[in-house]
Amino acid sequence: MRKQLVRRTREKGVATLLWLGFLSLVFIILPMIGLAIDVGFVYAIRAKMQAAVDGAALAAARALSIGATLASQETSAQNNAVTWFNANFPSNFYGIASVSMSASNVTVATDPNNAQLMDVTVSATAQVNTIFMRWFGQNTVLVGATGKASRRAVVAVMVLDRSGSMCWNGSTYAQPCTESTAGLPCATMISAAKQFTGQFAEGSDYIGLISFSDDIYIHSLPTTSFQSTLGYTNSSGSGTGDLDNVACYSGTNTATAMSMAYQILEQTNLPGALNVIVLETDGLPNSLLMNFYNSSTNTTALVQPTLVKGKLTGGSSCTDSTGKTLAQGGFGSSAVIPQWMQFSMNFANAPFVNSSDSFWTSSGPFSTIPSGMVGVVESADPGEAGVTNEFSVLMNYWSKTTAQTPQSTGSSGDPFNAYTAVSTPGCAALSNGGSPQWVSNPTDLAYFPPTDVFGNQLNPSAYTPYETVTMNGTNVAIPTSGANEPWQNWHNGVINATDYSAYQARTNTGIPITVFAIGLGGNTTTGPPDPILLQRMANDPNGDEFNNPAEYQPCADETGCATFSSQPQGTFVYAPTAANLSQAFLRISSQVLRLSK
Amino acid sequence: MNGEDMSLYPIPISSRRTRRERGNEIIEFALLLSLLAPMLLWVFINGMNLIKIIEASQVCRDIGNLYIHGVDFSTYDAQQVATTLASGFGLQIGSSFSGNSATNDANSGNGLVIVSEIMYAGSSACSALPSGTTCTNENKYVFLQRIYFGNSSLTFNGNTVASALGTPAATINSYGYVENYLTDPNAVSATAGNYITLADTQVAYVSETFFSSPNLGFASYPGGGVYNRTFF
Repeated sequence: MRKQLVRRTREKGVATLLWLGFLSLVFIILPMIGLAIDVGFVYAIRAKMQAAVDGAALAAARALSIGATLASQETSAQNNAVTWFNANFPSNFYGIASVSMSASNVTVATDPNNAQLMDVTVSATAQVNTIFMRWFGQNTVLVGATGKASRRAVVAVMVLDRSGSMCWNGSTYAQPCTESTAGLPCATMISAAKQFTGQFAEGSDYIGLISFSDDIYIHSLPTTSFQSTLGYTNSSGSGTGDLDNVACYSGTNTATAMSMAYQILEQTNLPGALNVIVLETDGLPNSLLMNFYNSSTNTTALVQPTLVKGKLTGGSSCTDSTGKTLAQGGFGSSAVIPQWMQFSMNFANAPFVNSSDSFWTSSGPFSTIPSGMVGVVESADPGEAGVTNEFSVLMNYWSKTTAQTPQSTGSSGDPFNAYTAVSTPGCAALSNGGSPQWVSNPTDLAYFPPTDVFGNQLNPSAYTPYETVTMNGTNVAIPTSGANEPWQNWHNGVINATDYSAYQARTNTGIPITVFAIGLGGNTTTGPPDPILLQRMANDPNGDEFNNPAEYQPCADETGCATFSSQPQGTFVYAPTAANLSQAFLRISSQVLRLSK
Repeated sequence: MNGEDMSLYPIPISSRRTRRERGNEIIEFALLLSLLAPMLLWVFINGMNLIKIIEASQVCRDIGNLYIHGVDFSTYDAQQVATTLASGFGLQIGSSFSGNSATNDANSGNGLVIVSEIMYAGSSACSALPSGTTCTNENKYVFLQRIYFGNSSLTFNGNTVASALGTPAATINSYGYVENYLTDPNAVSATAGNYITLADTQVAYVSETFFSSPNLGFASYPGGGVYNRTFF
């Protein structure tokens, strides 16, 4: 009985406790659980919204390329942001009560710390229905998220190959050819390049254009009005410009064009932007701009006379400006060095420069190119019919004296008919007026200088060269024994110098430059583009991403291929035929725009 | 009671009730438990799934963000980055491979990742074709790239998961790039337009992630796994 009494005594208040427990369950635990569930849902929705605004901000930054004016680009960005947000965050997502996201939630502004950076900020809010909290009068919760993305301005120089092989489609060869010569690669290239310019933002991006064959022509420095200057095609429409005037003809002086593009980017000097060179070529490089006079040592590359019985005899028959050969005591000072190229090195009047560009009137980047014994050396492509293993030293293509546009066909249809011949008085094996003189051995020369006028090394020392070059001391030898010599040694040197031109651009520390390359196949069988060379130039370690089966392997698997992880990595795309060229350009523009974000 | 006659002491009413109430605590506890246990279990499962939803959403966003910035998910290294991002979700990518593979999806595990690049091919896009070539896919959404990695046999509620954008039957190279996307009808995405509207030549990058949660799966919530899709 006592136990029962004790138990009863002990159980006193149990009901109260149970009641309190029940009350706590109803008013504390269940609400807490409800709150936890509601908050969980709110966080889940917020995570989804954050992903939505991030995607919207990036898409908006990409859309800054759409539109001809800054205002229309901002509108494009706002429209894109709304479209992408709605795709990522449907209005019925998890029982959303309402979503607030419109064009007014998208702001576009120049970054305060980098004038070449556009910042896009996207914000959104939503009222989220609650499940449990509504029992306590809280029917909805406000959720918000903000996403930000930036887009760097792109400063691009397009370097387009307008060599004669661009006029060959496998059955028809009509050199020179233009945009109006339908069906030939030159016309397709022009169309594709206009699509490329159509992908970028007029008014904020900068695009310039260089075209090259043996000579190069700077159509336009990088300009923000590139669509009206160069022409374009995109979903908004199309326009005509300098691209429509490109005419294709003759050789492939890739290294000079690359070096000019590099120096143009350096002069444009927008380090906060994404600086790129976009190279398109359908063949092997075969030309370089060389200087055969070394002013620091006062020596020439001419074959020296020999001393026979106290008298200088033999040697090159080239004469200096006083008419004396080396054997006659000529070439004794810089004052008598002949002007092999006929134009002044004042680039305001240079034939390959668009004279409307005031950029060139003062001490421009090319004022360092010496005048004198300077000229283009072109070699035949491997196995090229009629000129196999030959080359033409001192092409006359750079010697135009009147202000013309060498990329234009002119009235006679020949882009070079107005050129004045280069003058190499007395020389036996150098071109000297009229048509180029093709020789198997440039007997006037003892060697080729180790670099072209832009400093591109024919046998680079900073890394293992792609091709093997035989040297003569510090100069490039002109060997006469061995297979295909001396052509082969020069050919290898041109390949290396072209590779080095991209290396120089990529290693610029002030303005890192990314090189993109498009190789166009199918135009020529004697000198198609070398994928390994273009992989190297673009510093692209990947294999062929464009074709199936792959036309080339990853760089690590290719003999002679090398890339540098510390340098900007570009993209190489190989278009097997002109039919793939537009898609190749679009692939490159896509890659450039990716990097710009 | 020291041998005293208990009948001399009448049992109080409260004591009688107490006797009758013996075991009530257990019953009450059982009743309460029957209510609380499922509720706590439900809360636990929902809580875990909510955490998974939040994490999966972030994983999908991060993979898409990497993708749009040029990370090549056809390489094993890039896919390893994705598995690191998705740690805890059971995304498996198999043994290491060199080079590129657009379909590393014959693995076990509880995750599948699909990244795609789509474009609306209007007249401007079609102008990229040489003259005389018919632009079969004009005014359609086409795949430019498609890469899978993880476990493509994954099922949600018994159904094998699949991209909401469809599966391109066109030829895809090892980098995931779709060939002849303007002329091959197998490169068309019939459903992309249901989710997003693009202008001519406009491109969208899409990441999709599928993560099943077999250990905590509720048949009806949320579909046996967590699916996320983010357009960039």
